[in-house]
Amino acid sequence: MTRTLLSLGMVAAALSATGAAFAQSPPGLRPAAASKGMAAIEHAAAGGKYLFVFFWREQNPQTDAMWNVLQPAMGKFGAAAELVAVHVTDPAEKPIVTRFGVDRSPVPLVLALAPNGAITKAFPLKLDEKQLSQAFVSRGTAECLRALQARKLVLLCVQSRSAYVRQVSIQPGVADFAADARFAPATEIVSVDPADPAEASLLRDLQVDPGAVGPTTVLLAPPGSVVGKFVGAVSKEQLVAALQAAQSNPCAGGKCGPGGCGPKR
Amino acid sequence: MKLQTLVLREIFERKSQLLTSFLAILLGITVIVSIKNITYYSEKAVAREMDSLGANVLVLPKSATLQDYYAADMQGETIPEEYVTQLAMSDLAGLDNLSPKLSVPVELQGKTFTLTGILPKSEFQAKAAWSGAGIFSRPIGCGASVGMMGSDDKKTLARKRVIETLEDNEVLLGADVAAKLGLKEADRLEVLGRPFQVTAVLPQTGTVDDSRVFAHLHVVQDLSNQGPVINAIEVIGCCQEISKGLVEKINRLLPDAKVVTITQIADAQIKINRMMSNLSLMFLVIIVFVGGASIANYMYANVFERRREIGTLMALGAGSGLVLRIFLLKALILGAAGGGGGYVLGTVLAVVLGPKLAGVLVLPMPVLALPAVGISVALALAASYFPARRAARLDPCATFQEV
Repeated sequence: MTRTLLSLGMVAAALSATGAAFAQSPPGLRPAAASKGMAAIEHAAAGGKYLFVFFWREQNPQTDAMWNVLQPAMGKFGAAAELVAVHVTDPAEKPIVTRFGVDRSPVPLVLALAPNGAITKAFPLKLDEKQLSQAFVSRGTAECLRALQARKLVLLCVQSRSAYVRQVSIQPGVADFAADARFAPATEIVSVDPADPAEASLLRDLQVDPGAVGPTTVLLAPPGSVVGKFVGAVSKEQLVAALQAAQSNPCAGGKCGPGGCGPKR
Repeated sequence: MKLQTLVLREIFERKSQLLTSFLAILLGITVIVSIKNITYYSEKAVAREMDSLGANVLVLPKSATLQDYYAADMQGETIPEEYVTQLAMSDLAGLDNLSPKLSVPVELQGKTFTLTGILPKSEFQAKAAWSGAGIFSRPIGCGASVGMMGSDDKKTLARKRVIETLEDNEVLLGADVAAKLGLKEADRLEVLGRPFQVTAVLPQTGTVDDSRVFAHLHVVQDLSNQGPVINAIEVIGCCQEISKGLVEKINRLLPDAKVVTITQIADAQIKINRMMSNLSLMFLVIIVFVGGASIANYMYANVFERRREIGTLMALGAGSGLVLRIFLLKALILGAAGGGGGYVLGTVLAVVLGPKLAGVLVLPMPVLALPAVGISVALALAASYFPARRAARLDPCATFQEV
């Protein structure tokens, strides 16, 4: 009975999430169709909503437990988020399974996708409601995560926006670095306003003082390592030097203490 | 007749007895020198391994045994590949560099090598960023390496044990494989019926890695029909401090796997070295008793048999000091020859047998020569002192009365 309800719940969630008729029929009987998961991603992105993708392989107590947390939580999130359930062995879902490499990941798995496509949190095998709310991040965080997940460097510019012009003027050093042919294809500039309360958590994690006078530039490398932090004006040479130092020394800026960190070179 | 001539003639008077004493001392020193030599180089190898591997952690199947760090993935048992994703997505600090491996034996040009599937960093690094905003508050740069775009030197696999990218048609060859197959970079190679291009020949490491052919993990899984499984996950370059608590945390995350640190593996080797060292000490005690007793017995018998000659020598005017010197010089020569010979023989044995017994390259240690000769000479002198003193105190009249 519970399992039947669970299946129905998944179908309902999928329907409500995508706003289209994506029936959850057995894989063998279903005609070749576009991936329900991929469609849900597009739908959520278009609506500027978060999307929780629930990947499952078989119904078991673990799957039930996750679903039983996920479904009521969606009600609380209201219009901010959508939900889609994806059966990983369904041939129609191959595009989304391959895109996220779920065939070699622990399932059940819930991925939280920001409207910009960044995965803001992954919950393998178990989750609770409190954890789910951590998936909602600021715009700056989502942009940083998207770039890092694409294996790009991020130049996070923390600088106040002009009271008159809502445009941020990028520092010349940052612009030069991003324009350099060596780094341009794999570099993204993200700017955040230190006065924006939504970004407070990101700045706290990066240990950036929001009250600092002048701009602060943080250079991030995948998966999320802080390669360099520069208060005030920064030159391209400084950014390159920080990157090279991080590349040659696994403990660059690290605080691993005595005993060393990483293999000796 | 000079003292030296007297001593040399005395030495070669009772050859069989001399040989017995000489052999006792020679073999004892040989064993001590060879054990010390092998132990020294084995300890050095462990220290070098610790240095080069940092605070690495290995995730293995529960049933895997631990003997050789480098061969930990060659035991046949497997764990699911999803463990890699689980580790990458976890909030645990110190998991920046993961290296999952699957190894299968392959035959190339009639020779057997190990085909090892490795997963490039590019394939799991994105999943590490799935842990969300919390990733920014992790310890800065701890154990993480930043790959500069477009500068992926694949030869660093031998040193860093992690590779940034690896295409499906690429293979990296260990130094021994390349030498035995006569292959170099850009050559073509067919493995299990699939063509590959040699992207790099790795530098010599002196480990089993030299006999490996590295390819993409998923390609090796397909070629060996093993499915999404791996033999081991190496967690590279995490901090000593982190690795202490990391083992327990990974154990909690992956309860069906065995998690060990390089220190634990090194500890096993250190225990063997310590045992060898104790064994060497035991031999030293044995040689002191057996060698000393043998020399003392030989000397007492010698003095007893030669008492008439000693008496004659003393009747002709030789003093007690001269007689004492004759026997002590004889002991000194015996000890020096036994010690020197033992050092040479022990060194040869260590150099020849070391690589076979301990799997390490052993070189001669001249620093052991002096202690070897010193111990041997001291032992011979100490064992000969009382017989020599007895000879020096002989009464010539009493010895002539026996005639």
